[in-house]
Amino acid sequence: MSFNILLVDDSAVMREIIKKTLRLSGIPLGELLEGANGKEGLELLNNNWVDLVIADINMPVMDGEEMLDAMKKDENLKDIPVLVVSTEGSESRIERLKAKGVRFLRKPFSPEKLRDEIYDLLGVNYHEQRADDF
Amino acid sequence: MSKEQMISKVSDIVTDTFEKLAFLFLVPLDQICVEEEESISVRVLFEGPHKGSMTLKVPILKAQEIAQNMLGIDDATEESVVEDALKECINILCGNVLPELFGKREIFKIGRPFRIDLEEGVDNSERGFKVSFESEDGYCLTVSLLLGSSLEEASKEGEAGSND
Ligand SMILES: [Mg+2]
Repeated sequence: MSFNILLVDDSAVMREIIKKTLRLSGIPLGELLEGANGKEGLELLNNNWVDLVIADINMPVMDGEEMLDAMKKDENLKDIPVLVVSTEGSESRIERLKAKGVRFLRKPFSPEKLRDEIYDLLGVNYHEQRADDF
Repeated sequence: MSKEQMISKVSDIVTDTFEKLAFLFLVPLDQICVEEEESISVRVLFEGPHKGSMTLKVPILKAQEIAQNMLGIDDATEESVVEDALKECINILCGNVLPELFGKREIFKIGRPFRIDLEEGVDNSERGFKVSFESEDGYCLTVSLLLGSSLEEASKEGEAGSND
């Protein structure tokens, strides 16, 4: 079994960093989809099967919170796990996001922290997964 | 919060961010270094309880290494990629600095980072400050913060508005 993951971040460099971390994480990867803002993210969600969304908040055109609100209103998208990876530092805004049922990881993050959050969200046991690899 | 305390918080965030993001170990300096080498500068503007800008200036050679480390690649990097990497650095720095200085419950809007060719003098004034950092191999990076109002006013309001 492998996971299709959608990355939504306006920084191409940050998308590369996350992709690099995903490849090194040992998570069985299916398709990696990329969008540069919430609007592109929603289009990809509507046209592809996605198991996990990793999204930035601060983006032009449509920000991550608006994308999340649109996902929550959509029967087909509302249950997809979302990990928000953002520089957002305001506790009030982070609480508001968490109340919408997403995980939050602050930039800068260590690769291990990102990997652990994803394993947790996908419900994969990291050690079992590693044992499978060998 | 005094200006010295602000500088110390910003220094901690800068060293921590570059360590995590680019495996770059920096030491804050007591003085602003005068950089002779060709550099790249990037800036973000922010709005919210306080308006202002934050700027990062990095020598080109060091900037290339930062981009390579962030992306996990060895080859020489195109200038546009180097620029994007620094833009993401200043974005992350600013996102972490604002709540630390002005209150964790305040909501700021951070604009898109952009490159600047010439850095207009953000000297250590009542509206802002600069801090320089040295890398292990002797390169100098400089981070500056400039507000629309005085630092003293801004930090007082921040303390009054935060719960911690
Ligand atoms: Mg962003």
